[in-house]
Amino acid sequence: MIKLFKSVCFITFFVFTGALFLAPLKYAVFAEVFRAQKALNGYSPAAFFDFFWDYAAVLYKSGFLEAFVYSLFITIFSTWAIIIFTSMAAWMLVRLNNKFNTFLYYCFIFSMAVPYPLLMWTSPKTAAFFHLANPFGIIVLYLGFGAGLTVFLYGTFIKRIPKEIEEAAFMDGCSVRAVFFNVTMPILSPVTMAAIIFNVLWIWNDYLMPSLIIGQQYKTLPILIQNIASNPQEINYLPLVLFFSLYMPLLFFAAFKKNILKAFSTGIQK
Amino acid sequence: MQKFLRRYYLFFTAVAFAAFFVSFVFPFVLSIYLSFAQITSPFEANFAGVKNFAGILSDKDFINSLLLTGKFAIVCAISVNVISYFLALFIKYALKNSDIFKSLFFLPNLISAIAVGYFCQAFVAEISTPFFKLLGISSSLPSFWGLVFTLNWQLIGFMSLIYISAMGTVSKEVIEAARLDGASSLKIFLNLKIPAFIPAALISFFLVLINAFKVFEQNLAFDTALKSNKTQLIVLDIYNTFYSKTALEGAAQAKAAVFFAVFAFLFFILFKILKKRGIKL
Repeated sequence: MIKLFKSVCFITFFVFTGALFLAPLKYAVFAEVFRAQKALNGYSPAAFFDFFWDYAAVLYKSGFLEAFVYSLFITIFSTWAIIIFTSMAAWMLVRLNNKFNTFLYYCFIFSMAVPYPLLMWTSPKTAAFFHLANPFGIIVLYLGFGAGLTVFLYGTFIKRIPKEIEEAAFMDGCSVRAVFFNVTMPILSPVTMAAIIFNVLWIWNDYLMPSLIIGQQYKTLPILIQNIASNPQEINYLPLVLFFSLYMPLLFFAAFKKNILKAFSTGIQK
Repeated sequence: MQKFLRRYYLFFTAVAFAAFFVSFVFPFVLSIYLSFAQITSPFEANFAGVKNFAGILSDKDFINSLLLTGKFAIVCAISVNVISYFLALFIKYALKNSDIFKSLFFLPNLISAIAVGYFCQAFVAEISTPFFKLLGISSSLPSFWGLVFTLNWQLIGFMSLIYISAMGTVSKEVIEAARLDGASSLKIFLNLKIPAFIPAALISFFLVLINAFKVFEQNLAFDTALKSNKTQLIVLDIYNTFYSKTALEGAAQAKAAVFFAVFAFLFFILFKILKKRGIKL
């Protein structure tokens, strides 16, 4: 009985704090509830379906679905590219130890200290020059910018893995490629998890870089939000688009809650 | 194995190096060069010495936004750290380190900064307008304080995670042992708890400073929603100089270089602290 009382208290407290802390989100959520009520007060059974049609129509008209697909495409493939190519590069930079590689390793780490606003103008120009101003090209750009943090994460971890494990596999006849993909990569899986988390959250939420490079033709979600908010004819769509843009991060968080809390408690972020 | 590694060097590194060069090294070197140049187009510029820097020093908007950003960063660094320290104590001891509460306070960190900007702008306007009316002022809260609220809302969950993980580094056994050896509560607090707390406090202090310095999307959201450009933090000022004004690319690039110098300095300090603490993942 006391246990039940305690858990009821805990849940009430949680709901109360949650409502208080997440109050800024009410702008989107409440606008939606009112819309729904208005739709339901039409008194006809068909009104219920109207309400769904309304949602669908707004999502389609505002360009949400398109933006969602672009965001998803860019996030997934950029993260994939970052994980594969930077882990390979970091391994080589750490294992093949010479002055040139140490210098390159520190170049990658240095790139973490460079904020994007410094390259705000030159980066779109270079992207256009190399024909990278499209959803495929931006993957290359994200690979270049995400490399700093990811090389750092992998590098510090690889330095702590004893070389002998890899050398033993190599002596037993494993090729260099197989050593990396079948021996080293599985050991690195905790770092891979952290790297996926930092990069997915960064790329999904990034506004400045995609808006400058591909923002004219291809709108990712943050770009769409800004475009809708700055266009007086479309501003009615804003609450709904904001509301639906919350889903993806929440799903991602629900899937990797433990890992995300652990990764961020180190004080590292992208 | 070294010999064989060398043979596979390009296979492992070529893609990452090429992308790194195209998207980072080249624009970075170009940016630094262009901040010292008279720009006609991105690939045509004449070296002009420190003329750009001399120009922006007499630019009142720039100096104002730099000072405003400094003020913003310090206000945020203090408020976020104080709030998140007490929040961490609360979660750790009153709520028994419950994950669900940590998640709740961490949520704003997952939402894109531009959406956070619009959410908080609407919220702050709604809350503050009646309150200001009560005081007899017809305006709403200045967007500077709105932005302070926004950054606080975003970061306290993240920072309290750092504090909580630092609080866990002193185990109960160590405190028990110290007590058995005759240490007073004050001594335990000074010699055990404070040294464990200081690195976390420094890390989160500099993290907030860094985050406050590069605030851009929230600022843009406030400006768009209020249709004003009175409160411009440094990045938005750089952005507007590049993209809303003509023939000021050189000046804007110099502003960006100054911003980079400050940012890199803060980052360097943060990195030193992180390294000293021996980052674990």
